[in-house]
Amino acid sequence: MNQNNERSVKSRIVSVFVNILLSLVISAIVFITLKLI
Amino acid sequence: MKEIISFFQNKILPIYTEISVIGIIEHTFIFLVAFLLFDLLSRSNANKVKWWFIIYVAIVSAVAGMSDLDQNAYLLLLIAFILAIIVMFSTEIKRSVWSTKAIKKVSTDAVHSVKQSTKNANYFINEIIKALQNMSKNDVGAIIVLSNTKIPTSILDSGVKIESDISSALIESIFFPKTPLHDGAIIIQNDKIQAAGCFLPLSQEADLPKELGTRHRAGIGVTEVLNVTAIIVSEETGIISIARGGKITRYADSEALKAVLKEYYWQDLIVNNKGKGVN
Repeated sequence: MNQNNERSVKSRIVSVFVNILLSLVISAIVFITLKLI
Repeated sequence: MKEIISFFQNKILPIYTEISVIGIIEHTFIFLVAFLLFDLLSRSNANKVKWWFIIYVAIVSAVAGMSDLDQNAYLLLLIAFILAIIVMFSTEIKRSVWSTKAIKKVSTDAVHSVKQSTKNANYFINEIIKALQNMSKNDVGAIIVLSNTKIPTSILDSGVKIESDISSALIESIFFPKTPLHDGAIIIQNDKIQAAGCFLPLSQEADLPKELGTRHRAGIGVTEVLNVTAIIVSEETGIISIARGGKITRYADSEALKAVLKEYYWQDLIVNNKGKGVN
């Protein structure tokens, strides 16, 4: 049970990290586009 | 190549080097909106849509940069896509919010205080299989959820708290037709039947075979949103099915049931014994 929990916590951390990176990329694209147009 | 570098140096770099406080706030706001959207989509098992959104933003941004699109039209295109995602995945989003906010442990005592042994686990497995086979033989509909994780309060509160030892007689009695609790699911955690008559979220999967009724949809639905295993006995055919991770396996025989139940109880045994320093 603990192993399962550990695994799900790890995958959640990875998913949050990936989401932060993707959000940074998207926000940069949108911000730059808004400033350029 | 030189043109691209000069474009970055002349157009993009100044945006960040000369950024104002309002600019930082704007950037942070866009970041937060994007993060919330991605996080919701991740928790709703809609990872593909994340990539659609990224591709869409890239295309719209490129088109906006090359055409006369103004800021309002650009923002409108982005908001329209976000709204479309929210409408398309409203059920999943609702579920993901619901399953993380309202979660609580069924009973921490049940997990930690029980001294499980291989003998006990074998007893529970045999009792559950016996009950399932008897109900299958008599065409009694049943749904059993094996949980070693947290169960949302909304599911537990929809049924009746039992916290009773596992026995085939009790399981069969609960599902006996025309009894008040026979229509819901029972939640098993370790050596206890925690609750009975519980209502589960139904699967919205459109590709399920027509012969699978509401009970099967509930069994699949709960495994879509929680890390649990559901065992379903069909009332019409007596067929026993096993649902895990949103997928259903039909025609489960005693060997398949034993394998699933062993996996469930063995995992707990290993963890509990390690916790108590037993080899």
